[in-house]
Amino acid sequence: MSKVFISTTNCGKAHDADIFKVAISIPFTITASGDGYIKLWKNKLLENEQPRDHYISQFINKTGVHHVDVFHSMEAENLELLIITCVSFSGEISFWQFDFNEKKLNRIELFDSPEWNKKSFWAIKWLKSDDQVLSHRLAATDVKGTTYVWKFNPFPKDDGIENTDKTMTMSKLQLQGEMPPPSAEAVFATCVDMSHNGLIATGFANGTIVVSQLSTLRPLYNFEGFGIQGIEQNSNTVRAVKFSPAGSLLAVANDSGSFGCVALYETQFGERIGNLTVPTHSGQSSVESFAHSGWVFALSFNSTGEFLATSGYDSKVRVWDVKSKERVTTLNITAGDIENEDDILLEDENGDSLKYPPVLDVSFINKGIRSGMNSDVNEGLCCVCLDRSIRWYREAGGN
Amino acid sequence: MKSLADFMDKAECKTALLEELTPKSRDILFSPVSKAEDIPFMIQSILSLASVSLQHQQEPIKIQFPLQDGKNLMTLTLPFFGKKFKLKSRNTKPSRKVAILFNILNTVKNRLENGQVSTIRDLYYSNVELYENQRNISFWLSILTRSFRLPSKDLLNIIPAQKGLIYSPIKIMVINNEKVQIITPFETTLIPYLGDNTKIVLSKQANVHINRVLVLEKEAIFSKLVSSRNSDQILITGKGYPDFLTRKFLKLFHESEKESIKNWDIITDADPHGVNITFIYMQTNTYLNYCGATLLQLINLNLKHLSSATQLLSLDQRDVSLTKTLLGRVSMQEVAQASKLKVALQRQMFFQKKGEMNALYSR
Repeated sequence: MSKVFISTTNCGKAHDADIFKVAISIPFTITASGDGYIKLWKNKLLENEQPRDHYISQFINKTGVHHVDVFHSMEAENLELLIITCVSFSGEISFWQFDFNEKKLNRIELFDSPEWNKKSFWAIKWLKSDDQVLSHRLAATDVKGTTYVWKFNPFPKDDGIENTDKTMTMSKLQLQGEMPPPSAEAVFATCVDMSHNGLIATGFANGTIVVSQLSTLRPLYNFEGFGIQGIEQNSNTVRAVKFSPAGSLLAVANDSGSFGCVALYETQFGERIGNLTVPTHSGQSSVESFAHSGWVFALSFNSTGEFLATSGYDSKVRVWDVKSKERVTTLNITAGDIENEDDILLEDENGDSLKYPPVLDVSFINKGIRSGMNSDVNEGLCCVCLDRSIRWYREAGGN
Repeated sequence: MKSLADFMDKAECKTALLEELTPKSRDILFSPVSKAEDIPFMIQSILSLASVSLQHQQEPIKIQFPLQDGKNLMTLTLPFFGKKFKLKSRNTKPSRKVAILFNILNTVKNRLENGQVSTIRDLYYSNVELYENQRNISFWLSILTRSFRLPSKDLLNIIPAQKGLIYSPIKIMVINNEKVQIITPFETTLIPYLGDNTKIVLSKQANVHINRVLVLEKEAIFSKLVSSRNSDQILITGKGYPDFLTRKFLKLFHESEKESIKNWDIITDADPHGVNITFIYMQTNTYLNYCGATLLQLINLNLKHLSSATQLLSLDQRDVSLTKTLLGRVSMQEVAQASKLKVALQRQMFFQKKGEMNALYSR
């Protein structure tokens, strides 16, 4: 069984420096770049419209932005809330609210104390709660390995007074708690994810993953020791963790030397249920369990949890059937793919070749978010590469 | 000889007694000099004043270092008198400080009179027991510079030991006033001492054309390239973090030869320190062109040879915080090279990797 993804549109030289993250919201595809800007690319484009002509750019921080996540929710009083959260290389988290009337971003402060701006944050993740009783959550990791979790109730109505004033002020984040790194010494916490069934996973640069209960922040499982051990040059840095939409599976991307592995765990008992692998020797069964012949930077489940997209340094995006653990498609990306020839970037400012650009992030796009043929019935993919491009795909066929 | 009782009879209160007990001393002030040529004379008068008071008049001396704003940097007395005497270590003994000071003064005077230059290291090894470490000497040199109000420490003719190395396929003349030092071709030479109006001149040879000046972080790579005897490039290394002299040499060299030599490149390790070293060179030498090594170069090299030509190492906590600080600093600069450094740093942080430049030259 295989799937076919076809390119719908793309945009080269979308930023002036590397694009590290992409986040998909209903109105926008959002990219974060080392040039210090985030850009909001309109999803619903008409037939003859180009992405390049329809984006909103917002300067964030001079040191560059490496993480972005988006919180999009309809709150009480039919208030549509779109909050974009960025982490810059200075370690600072900033919050930006989209103004749907003015079509621009306004900086807002959700931290209750300026002390938070002195920390060195790295990864962030929003968890939108669909339950009226439960609050939304924001999780962030810092470079020393601590994971912070905040609760977010933008407009609490616990006082029972109907607040009809549209200009009511938003509540700040409430710190739920923090989790120290698993080891005695500080270790870089590279990634974090939360699931709807109440779990939080943090991945670390030394190859450890801690899965904890979101309600108590107590650790449930520690996964470690991936890849080949005992070789000096071996590194098993965890680069991405992602829960399946139902939260029953955890996908983990980690290095094995210069290769990239993807492992799947079920979350109820913390059992490893398998690796996603490609044959590394022609015609033979897989000898080593690699998913990419380069570091794997990103993981993304589709909305049903049946498929997992992975992207790597080997300039490939792979889509896997989660049940059979088989590869259903591979997208090979070259810098020359970009439609507009002027926007093809073959070399960076240091003269390094970007002909086969590493894919730094990939995300599934739900049905009906992008415009164009069959996008209402088919899912799509979006990836950002080191050649500073954004590429959008959708699944071929329609039924 | 008076007894304590005599003193107490004379003094009415405690303060008066203290005053009575304090010996009469002679103040020796370090005052500013108007021009560098006056330094030997000034030192001579300080030393002779001290010796006259101590030897002939048997009066203690009180050495003071007044600053511009009227404050006194410190007071030294010899022989020691006063109340605030706390002996922490051998080195804080006031008499020892005076001994170090007078020794340095004497050397400075000698060097200035003869027009010679010594390194701090030479001075240190001339009396290890007294100076204990080279930091002590630099400390006193900066005190002297401040109290004489000199624009630069170098005017005292005692300079930090040279660290930088240069290799050139062509003769370079370093003209310091009337003195000419020669950097002989095809030989690794220490970067010579430079004065304020030093000129660096590349001797022109019809058959040799220098294509580039290459600044390297590491001495190992420098030696490797030296052994290949390239005839079209001049190599310079500051052995890690460069000293002031290496940067100044590069600056003066560029000023005089920027027309004839087109490329001025720098190569450092693909780690935060490498980028920092590049950044430090660029503070005084903005024209330098950053050529890596970048992580991508090293990774591509590994891919090309299908083996580990070089090992990429994981960033540790100190690398992470250095990267963060550096990114902040580099982002403040609005020049083309700064964006190159920024990209290099961001990738090191994002990939969580660093690597050494050695592999690029191992083949």
